Amino acid sequence: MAAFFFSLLSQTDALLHATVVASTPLLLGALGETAVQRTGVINIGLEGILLLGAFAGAAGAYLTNSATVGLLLGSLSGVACVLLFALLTQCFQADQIVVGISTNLLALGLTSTFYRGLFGVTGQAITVPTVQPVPLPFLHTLPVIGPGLFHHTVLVYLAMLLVPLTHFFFFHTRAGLQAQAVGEYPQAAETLGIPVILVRTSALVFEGLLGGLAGAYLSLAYANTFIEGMSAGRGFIALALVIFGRWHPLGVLGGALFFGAATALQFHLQAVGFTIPYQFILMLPYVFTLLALALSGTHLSPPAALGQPYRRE
Amino acid sequence: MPSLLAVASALLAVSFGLWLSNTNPFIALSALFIGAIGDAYRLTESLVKASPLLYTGLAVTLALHAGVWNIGAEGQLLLGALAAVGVGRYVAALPPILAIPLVCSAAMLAGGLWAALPAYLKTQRGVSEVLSTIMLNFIAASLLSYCVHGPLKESTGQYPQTDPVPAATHLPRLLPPTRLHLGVPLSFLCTLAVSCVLFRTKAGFRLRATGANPLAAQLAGIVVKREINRALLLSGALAGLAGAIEVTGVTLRVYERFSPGYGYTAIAVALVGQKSPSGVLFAALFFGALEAGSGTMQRVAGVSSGLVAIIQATIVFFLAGYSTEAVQRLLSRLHMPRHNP
Amino acid sequence: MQQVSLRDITKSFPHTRAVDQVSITFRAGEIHAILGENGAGKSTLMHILSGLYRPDAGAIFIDNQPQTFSSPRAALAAGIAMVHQHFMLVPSLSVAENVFLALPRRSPLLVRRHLLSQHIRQLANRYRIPIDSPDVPVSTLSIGAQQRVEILKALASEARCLILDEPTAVLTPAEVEDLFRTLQGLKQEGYLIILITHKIPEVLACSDQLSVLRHGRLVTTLPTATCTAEQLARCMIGDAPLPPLRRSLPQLPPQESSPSPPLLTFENVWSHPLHNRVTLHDISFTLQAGEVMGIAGVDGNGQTELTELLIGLQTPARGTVRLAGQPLVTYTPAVLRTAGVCLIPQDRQREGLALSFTVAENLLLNVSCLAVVAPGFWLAPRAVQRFAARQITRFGITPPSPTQPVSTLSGGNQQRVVIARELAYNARVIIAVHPSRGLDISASRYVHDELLACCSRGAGIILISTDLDEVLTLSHRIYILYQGRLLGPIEPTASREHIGRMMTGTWMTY
Repeated sequence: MAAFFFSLLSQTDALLHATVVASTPLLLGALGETAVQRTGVINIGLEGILLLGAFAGAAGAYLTNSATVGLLLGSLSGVACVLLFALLTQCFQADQIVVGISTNLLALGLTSTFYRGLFGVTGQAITVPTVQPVPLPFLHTLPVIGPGLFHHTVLVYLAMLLVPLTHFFFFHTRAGLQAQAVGEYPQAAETLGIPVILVRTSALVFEGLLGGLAGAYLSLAYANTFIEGMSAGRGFIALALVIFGRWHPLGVLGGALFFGAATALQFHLQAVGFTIPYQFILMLPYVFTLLALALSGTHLSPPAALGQPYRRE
Repeated sequence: MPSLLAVASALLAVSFGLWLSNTNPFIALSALFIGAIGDAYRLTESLVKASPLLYTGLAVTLALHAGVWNIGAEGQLLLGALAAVGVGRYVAALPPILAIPLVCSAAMLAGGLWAALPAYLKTQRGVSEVLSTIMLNFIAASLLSYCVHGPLKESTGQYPQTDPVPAATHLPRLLPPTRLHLGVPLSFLCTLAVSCVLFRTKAGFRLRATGANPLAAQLAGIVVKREINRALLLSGALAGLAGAIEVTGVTLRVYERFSPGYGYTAIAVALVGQKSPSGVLFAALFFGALEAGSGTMQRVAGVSSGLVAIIQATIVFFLAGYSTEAVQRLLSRLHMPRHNP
Repeated sequence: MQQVSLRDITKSFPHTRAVDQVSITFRAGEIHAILGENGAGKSTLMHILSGLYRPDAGAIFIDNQPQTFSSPRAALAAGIAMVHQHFMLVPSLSVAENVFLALPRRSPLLVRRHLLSQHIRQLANRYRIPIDSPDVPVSTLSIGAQQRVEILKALASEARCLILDEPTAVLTPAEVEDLFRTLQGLKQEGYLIILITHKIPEVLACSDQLSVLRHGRLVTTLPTATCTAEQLARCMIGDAPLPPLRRSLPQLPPQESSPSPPLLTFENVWSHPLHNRVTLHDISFTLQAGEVMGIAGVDGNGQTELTELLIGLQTPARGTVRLAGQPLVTYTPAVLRTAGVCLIPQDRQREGLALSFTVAENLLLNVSCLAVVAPGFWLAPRAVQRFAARQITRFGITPPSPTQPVSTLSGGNQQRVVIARELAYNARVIIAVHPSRGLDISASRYVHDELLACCSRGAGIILISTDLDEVLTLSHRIYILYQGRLLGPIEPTASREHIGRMMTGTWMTY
């Protein structure tokens, strides 16, 4: 036990680094979903968006030999996904849960079909060009937190910036208040002249961009390859984070860091040679999510119109 | 019916996609068709593939009638399979007429228990069952991986899989040399049973009322929390049964990737079946046929079997669109009106 | 803005013509009332003026310039604002934030809360509309305060024409006076005020001009000073005979000849204090067989909480509840219903029916009915059909098809389904919450007759309603629900002034 904690302390900067890296896709996805849920829509297809983004990113980077193109393609695939979701749920008012589930199914089918089509069923993981980390000029030389926080890929910095930006947007700008009104009481928003469907679709596009980017991050900066089903439930963990963070960007950040830490710890435990079978360690994020859900359960106040389709008179 | 329309639209859309990628859709789809029902053997394969989808589809449908989403059918199925293997070792000496029901009951118990946690979280803590059941799916997969690498690993210790279940628990093959097993007609009986329970019993009525309007049901004297618990537990039990049937009837052992996503496809099956058990039966048969035909399609037309998943997902997308009020109104104006105003 | 005119406005919906060639002119510095019964078309007409609906025919003119409004936003930009009956306030946002959202287009992009609060206080002072603190969430405000925020919102959006839809429905008499004073003040400043209402006394008290609508048509437009109440009532209802103001109630059985214990007794019952809910204090009453106990009061004083307590959805924190003299130990809806308590809920679509179910299935949505029609494990379809057919005939549900989805029935018929179910078996204590809500006159009368018929068969009725007329017409004795306390009993013949004072609690002040 003591040896374990000692090993933890000596590796703080590495653990910090790993935490931030692991939490970034969760954070990007959860911020997007927070924005969407704040406008009253629930998109459980986030998992599918992540997976699609991961594949599009990997394929794009592989074919053009440029990680940047991969990232771009990943984002765009996310937007495409989300536009389909918006069409079905906002124009046709289909059930949001059903459309979310089908998004996940479709993403699974599409990615495995095209993956096998492009790369063959060899059993060997493909190698893709990766995104290079960008150390921040002075900051990365700081002790402990330097390499931990300031020596990352651009996406990490983007995620960190987005937290205060989304917070500011929702609580200190007119557009943000309008978005909140749409999520709480769309009929009232309509009478105030706020275009409900446009606001919801915009939030969804925001989520698509971030979600696709998060997926591309997984294949281009995290695992550096594409494996079928590699999103591994991260989209659902991100959904749980939205609830856990009480639909506030800062809360979501806290949750994402916590899960990132759990993931980092998981690898550290394996590396240190802890004798628990690795499958139990693999379970940790999901068990933690369950715990997080159980603890936040009652007395929650989600946006009042969450999940209800909006009908204009 | 919106389902038929959705299937037709999906096939059209997929054909279009195939045409765009320089594949002849007719060849691909007819290969699929022939692969599914081309001869007697293939027909029974379709039935065999349909069977787990039917059990899990019924499970999801049952929960849907009570207004809850059981996305955890996958995990419950895995737990059922594990329980079947675990209990199977102890009943090897019994005659099949005892061994099989025992193993199945154990699986149903395991599946039901795996659904108990989401049920508790939903009724006592207000946690969305969508998220909790999905988390348990991942945990179940890890658990299965642990078991086949560890405690339940086969005695020869070579591959990460369990020993084959004892002969006493094997479901009899009905039409050798095909793989058609007792579990298939049993699934039809299950459909009848679920239909009966939902529409011909007081308990089923209470369950459906809970899903139709939980507030009105509560005011009517129905204990909504109890109904939700019952629905999820029963749903989990059915999914667990699916796992046991797969083990004792088809694969005879459990290994990594034991289920190719039956629990998730089951959701599509339940949706296409429009919440009616007979609809789920036809949907399961159709989806099973798709799965069975995918091998032929891959061989003959060179189209990856992942296309089947795409077809399934596209069907559900179209269904989601066609089931909405706006489209229903449009459809009823195009055709003869069904109800008189 | 000096004048707003509607010329030949017509609007039809799938089965009705809601507004038929209505022409009215509203002038600045005037309070113009639009008077009419439920369904006369007043709300539809005003929704057209405020931009929510588009007229099928006719035109809107502002200062003789024709206008078309594609949305409420366009109407707002033109200076017409509506204060809705169901407030269009976002509950989780503060007063300041709600008003901010209503400011005209060119207002700032960023929210600066302290500047905003100042601005709101200035507005409030200018128009003499009391607003306490602009930074609290709207959900914590009283209904009267919320209405003031709505009016402030309209003023902040620089509208010159205010339309108020049934503004006094949720106010206490004192708050009504405050509102009228505010409206008079605005009138002096040159605003155009349009008041939609069905209450004749208020029209006479407050307005300068009035227009009467009936079945979508304009009956007349007159200066208020030249009208009398009877004249207006006749205009509103037409030549059909006025319903009698008070129908004869079945005689209460004399006390001595009923040795049986009272149907329901509440002894010093308190409810659990819950967040955002009215706590019920020390509720005590006795309900005898054959009597109608009316509970009046302004919405928001505990009606929902009392209903939930009566049907078993909430358990008493303190006190005893007796059914037929026996104290109740387990307090759940199932237990209460088996003992003969039934509920005709306020919102039949949300609380009384399952819209996706058929008529027959809805007739079973009650554990008492289920227990009789399906005594064992099985639910035999034949028994269900028989039961449904019987109830449909007995209660006159149209169309008489048990397999019809209940969502296709009219409001009146849906209420018949609810009543047919609740009164089917073992109806000893009937809790009726605003049973005539949203129903036209004949449907209301049917409901009331059914309830009284149950009375004469020995049931007891607790009538909880915010419609004072309904309570006064039907009850043997009346209680007032005020801030969770039950005041009374008082005779239904007591003066409205006296009842009004009890409803506002002024009797409590010294």
